[in-house]
Amino acid sequence: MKKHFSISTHPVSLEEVKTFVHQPETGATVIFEGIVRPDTMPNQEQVANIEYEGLTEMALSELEKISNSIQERYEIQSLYFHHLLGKVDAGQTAVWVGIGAKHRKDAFGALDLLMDEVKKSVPIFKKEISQQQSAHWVVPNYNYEK
Amino acid sequence: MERISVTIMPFGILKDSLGQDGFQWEHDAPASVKHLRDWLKQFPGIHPDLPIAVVFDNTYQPDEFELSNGMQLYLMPPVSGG
Repeated sequence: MKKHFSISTHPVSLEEVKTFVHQPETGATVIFEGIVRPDTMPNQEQVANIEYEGLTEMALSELEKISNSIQERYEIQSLYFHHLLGKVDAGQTAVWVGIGAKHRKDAFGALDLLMDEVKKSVPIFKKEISQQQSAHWVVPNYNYEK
Repeated sequence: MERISVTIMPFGILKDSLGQDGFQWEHDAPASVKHLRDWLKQFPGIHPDLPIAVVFDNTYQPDEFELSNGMQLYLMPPVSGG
């Protein structure tokens, strides 16, 4: 399987993702963009941007493990993953994922599993920042302000 | 009594209580991840229910993992990428 994992402060283009995942025998490609939402923060201010930080070497290692488990469940031909670090404005893309497979169900299933696993084990952390410069660390499934 | 010193690098919300940069943590030997986790309980800004992962060598380490002098450890709250 052809795969690419990267984590950096530089965005990539959708064209790059599409070109990577489209193999000669590909019958289905799924392209996913994770976009920063202008959510309301706990203090009722609106998210202006999100600042991402992470442990890159470990994140890449975790992604490799995740891709191995995906291959055990789905027949895919290619996998592209790029995550931004640093500040990303609301409305901008922070994550690009592309999956190429012979069949649609494998491509969608692999994408779903990949994103679920990324949110469990890949060491990337985000802090929401409002226009007024309030900051709020996002800790999934955990209300630390209670 | 022998002491060990390790470098601690916090991530995410843990930086609010432990600082932005890494620091040295000392403890009587032998010391494990459990000792480190217990030490973190003294910080009022770290909620006692917050799950904290301890990473060494790009691997999540269990409570019983023994710490050695000079190790660099990463403290991580639940991840939030994607």
